[in-house]
Amino acid sequence: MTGYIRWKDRDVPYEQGETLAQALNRAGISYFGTTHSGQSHSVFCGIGQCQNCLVILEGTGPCEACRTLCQDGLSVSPVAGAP
Amino acid sequence: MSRNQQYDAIIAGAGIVGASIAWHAARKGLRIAVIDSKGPAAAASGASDGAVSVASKRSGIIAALAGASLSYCRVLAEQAQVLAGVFHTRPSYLFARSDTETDALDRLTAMLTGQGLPVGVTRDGAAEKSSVAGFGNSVTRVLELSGEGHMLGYEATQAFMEPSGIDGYWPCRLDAFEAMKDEVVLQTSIGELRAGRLVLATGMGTANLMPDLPLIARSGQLIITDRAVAADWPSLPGPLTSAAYLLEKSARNFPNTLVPVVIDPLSTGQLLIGSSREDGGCEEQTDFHTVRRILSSGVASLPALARRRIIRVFAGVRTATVDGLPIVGEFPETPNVLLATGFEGDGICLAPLIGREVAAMVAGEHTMAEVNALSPMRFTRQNVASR
Amino acid sequence: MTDHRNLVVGAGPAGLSAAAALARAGQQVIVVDQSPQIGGAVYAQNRTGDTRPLSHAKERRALFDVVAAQRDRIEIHCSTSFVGLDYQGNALITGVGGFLFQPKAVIMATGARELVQPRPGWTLPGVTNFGALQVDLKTAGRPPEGRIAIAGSGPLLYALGAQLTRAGNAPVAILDAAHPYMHPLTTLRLPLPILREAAGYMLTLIRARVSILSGTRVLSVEEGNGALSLNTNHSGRFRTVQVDRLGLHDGLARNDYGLPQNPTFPVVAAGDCRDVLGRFAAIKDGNRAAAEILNQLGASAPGKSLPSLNTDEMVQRHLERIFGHDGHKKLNDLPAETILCRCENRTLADLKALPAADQTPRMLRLNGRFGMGACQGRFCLDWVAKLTATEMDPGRICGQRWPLRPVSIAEILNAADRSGNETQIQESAQ
Repeated sequence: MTGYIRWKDRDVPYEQGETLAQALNRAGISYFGTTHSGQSHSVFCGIGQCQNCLVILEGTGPCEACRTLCQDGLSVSPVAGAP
Repeated sequence: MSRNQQYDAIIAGAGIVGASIAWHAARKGLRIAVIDSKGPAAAASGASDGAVSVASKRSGIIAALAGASLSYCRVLAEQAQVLAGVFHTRPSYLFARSDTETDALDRLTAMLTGQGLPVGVTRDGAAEKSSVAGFGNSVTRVLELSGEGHMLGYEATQAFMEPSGIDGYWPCRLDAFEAMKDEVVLQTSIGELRAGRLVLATGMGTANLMPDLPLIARSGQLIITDRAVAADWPSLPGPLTSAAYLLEKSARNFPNTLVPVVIDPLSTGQLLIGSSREDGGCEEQTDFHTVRRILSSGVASLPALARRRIIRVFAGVRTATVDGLPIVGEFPETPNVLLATGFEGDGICLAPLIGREVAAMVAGEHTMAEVNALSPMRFTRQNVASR
Repeated sequence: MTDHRNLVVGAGPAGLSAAAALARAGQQVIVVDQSPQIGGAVYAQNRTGDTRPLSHAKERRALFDVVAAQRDRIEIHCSTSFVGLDYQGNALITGVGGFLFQPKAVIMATGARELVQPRPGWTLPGVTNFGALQVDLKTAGRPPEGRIAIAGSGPLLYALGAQLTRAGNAPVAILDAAHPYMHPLTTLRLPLPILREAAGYMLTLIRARVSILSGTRVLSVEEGNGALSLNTNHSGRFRTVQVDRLGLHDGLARNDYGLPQNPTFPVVAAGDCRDVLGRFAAIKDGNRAAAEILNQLGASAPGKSLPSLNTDEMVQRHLERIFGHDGHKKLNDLPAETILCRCENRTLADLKALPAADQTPRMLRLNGRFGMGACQGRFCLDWVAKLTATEMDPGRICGQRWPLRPVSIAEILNAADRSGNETQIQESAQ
């Protein structure tokens, strides 16, 4: 375990080289928020094509969790309005 | 017009202008058909930002027509009327980032107060005082207006054509027409059609039928963003338009180095960001350099824009004319053929009024003086008849 | 102004072999890839520090060596996004070190599109396609956790099943919609290397006693108690399977996304994105694409004959027969509320409510709102096409204009302009 990212109110561990999606899934978090049309944000294609795994990276904005590498202290949250 | 013809008038062009003309003419009890080579709102009407704006218009005839159309549009948008739920009023914002642009805002406020237009200034001052938070540091002044509105081109087009009593033919391409004393004979891709009158609301398609008309295709590159998903997106009750646009549309030449930009919030929460203004072009012709210039200007005006993602880029092709005024009316050489084209980006705003006036022309009734000033007679008259 | 460099999009077997072939012919090449490391999907590398690859080690090494030999002519940019080509001949690459330039020629080697047929529950968290499971497995060097089921058809079903098993988390079930064992003669026509590879997978699965059911389809997925329930149909027998992750896969298709309509310079597709023929064909196809580019540039090396893809095409046809099934015919039987377009939540009922006149590619998008979402039709238009019997290639309908996928405004502006066409804009007060 290399470090921690912050997801909502908890610290999620990650290995160097893992993406946000991998770290979150491994921590048992597969639901990343609710889409504008009431669907769930989650990993589907894993390669940034489906746009379904969107999360908000603090300071940057929306990004694909499956394409964003973890860095220590990174703060990640669900899209706005999602629980 | 006679009962022997199928229709009292055929409107060629199912864009917002053609649709408005058809609706108004049908209301007079005329037998109306609309034809289009592709379908409703297939060209400029479907690629517009939907802004119904008076402030962005050139002072003079156009601003006067826009003001009258806006007032009339509000009437048409009342409960149970044709544009109810389609046209919405909303505040609009014009901002300046240089002295030249501030002067343009001064001229605008003078125009709005002087010409009795149905748009009022509700706030005028520094960006920090504006009801929109998040303007960039280079924004020196923000003018907030009330009275302007928003109307999606394809929604309005469909609303105007909904009533039964208007026959629609598409795809149906108009290849040629023969204008005669009592009727017009149309040669189309679905066969021959006859009507008492033909209205050409065909945008750039008019150039194929009347190649000597001084029409210019002018395209504007437009950017569509994602929906706002981050909590820190500033609330935008209406569009933000840089004063650079007023300078561009003005008759005088201003040495302006700031790129005009409009940031328009769509009802989905997405943004439409525009636009360039280029002669020629087509829907697919967009380029990185132009889009980066527009986006750079946008980010300088509203820094939070940098965090939005773009999902689609296209060019809206509008029909402009050599003197910047639309062409509405009839040539004596081609009786019973009425032109209604050349609105270059003002089509959404002017459609309600132009529809009413051209329907009046079709019925042989009296029309507004400002509309009469748009007559094609103002151009030299050689060789403008159909091929 | 046009650069002296060629652009290759995608650093998988097709892209890398194309780049190396161009470099051997004296060309300069830029290769871009969205991953942090080269290899594409099939040769995806472990990013977490463990250098033992899970599969195809020798092939991967050989390919990387071929590229390394030409390193002075190949510039590789990983962790970037190819945004697209504009009508003036510029290419935009975003991400760290992103830039804008006018390539001499472009080779698109972006890989195949994976097909997943819609069914109730396919959009639930925990349900992914096979590509997501494979990229997770290969790049993390360890399998996803929990009970995994994989369902669909095709050789990937067994490759992935074996890879998960060898990595320590065998699937609880492999649900094959086809009956591959019913085609022994066709199977024996496959080339020996392929049979050997397949046998290796089957041995792994048999030794681990992985449950393999053929003729079995996942009808729907439900969630409850922190797990997924799969409702399956095995020749009329209905069973429910509880899992934590479900992988679905209904085939691979060519990928035209990013291929421009009227390019002003040579643009050639290579590998699975052009024709799904697998990794061996991809390497050959990369060489073919490079030769094609050299030809169009007038820089052809004298006629060395290129290896033919006939065998690979034949293999593909055999595989289609072995793994074929009629599942796509069941699309119309789906419940009306089944989501087709997951981006915009458009259902089968929405599609059926459209008038017949609206069943053209244009109106399906403008009125039906199918294919108008963020994924640009990649995951819904194939099924909309089948359901409406409309000829529609998603890449041609939605994929010929930039951006190829959503890209942030900041990244677009941060890309360095190396086109030589930049005009200075002064944002100065007057």
